[in-house]
Amino acid sequence: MPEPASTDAGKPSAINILVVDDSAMMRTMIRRAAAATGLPIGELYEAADGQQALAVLKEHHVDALFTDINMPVMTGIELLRQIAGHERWQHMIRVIISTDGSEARKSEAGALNVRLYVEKPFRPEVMRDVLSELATVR
Amino acid sequence: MTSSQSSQPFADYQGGLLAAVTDVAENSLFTFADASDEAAFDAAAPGLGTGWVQAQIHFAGSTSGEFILTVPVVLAQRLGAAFAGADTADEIGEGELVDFTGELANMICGAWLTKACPQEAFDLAPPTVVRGSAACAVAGAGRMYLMVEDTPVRLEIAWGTRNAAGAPMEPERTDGR
Repeated sequence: MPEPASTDAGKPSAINILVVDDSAMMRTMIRRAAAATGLPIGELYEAADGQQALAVLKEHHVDALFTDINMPVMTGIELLRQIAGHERWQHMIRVIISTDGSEARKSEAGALNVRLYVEKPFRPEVMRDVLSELATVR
Repeated sequence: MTSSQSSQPFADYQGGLLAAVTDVAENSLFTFADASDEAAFDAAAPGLGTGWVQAQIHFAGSTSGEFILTVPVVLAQRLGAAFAGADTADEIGEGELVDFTGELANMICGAWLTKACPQEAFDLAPPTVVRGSAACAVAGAGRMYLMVEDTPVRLEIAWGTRNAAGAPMEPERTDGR
């Protein structure tokens, strides 16, 4: 299993991220926005639905999960439920990036240990704020 | 802004749609959207022929229906390039065009529903995206027209539910297809 990239002492360690969204264009936008932050990103994995995401998680070490909600095959909420049932993934920081900004969905996400909830559409600089916050909580 | 009317459960759904489009345009596409009218859309449609792309999304919650976005291909390519950070619209191929138009409809529909019903979650089905003419309107749908970068765009809302088999109801098309 690949481990996160190690860094020099004193420097923040790189964050391995998994982006789950059925839109390849949205995954590309998130990848570019993350790269533009200048923050230490290790590996950035991609998946098009929850089922693909679980396959990635079984093979790779991921520090932070960014997931959409409405996706075919397996939704983001179902993915989060699956993750909640496995001890090995409890360390992972969970972030939702979705068009659904309703209080009902945010409440549902909160019960599944989601740390941050980003509503689409969002400006690229929002990704810097999110990654900066993730860096402080690791 | 001119539009046709349909029976609908949201007060001022057109105002909500315009706010959602403005939100998406300014925050993710770095451009602006202005209200327009059917005449401007109809004037542009023949010249573009089959150069249109249409994305349809079924939404389901306390109410349900279809959201349909119709946009010229050339505009979708430009907006897709801006969204993805591409240098030119030429970098947006067929796959990216379909993906982006679906995601654009998803963002607009999701933002609109959140603004209309901030307490309630809606499920959005994956978008269906087709290319063709602009004459693919759903009969009886509520419509509104916008201008984005001097190019006409149409939004439609058809209120209704899925059939018993779980498949979306086939929209009644006005172009005979």
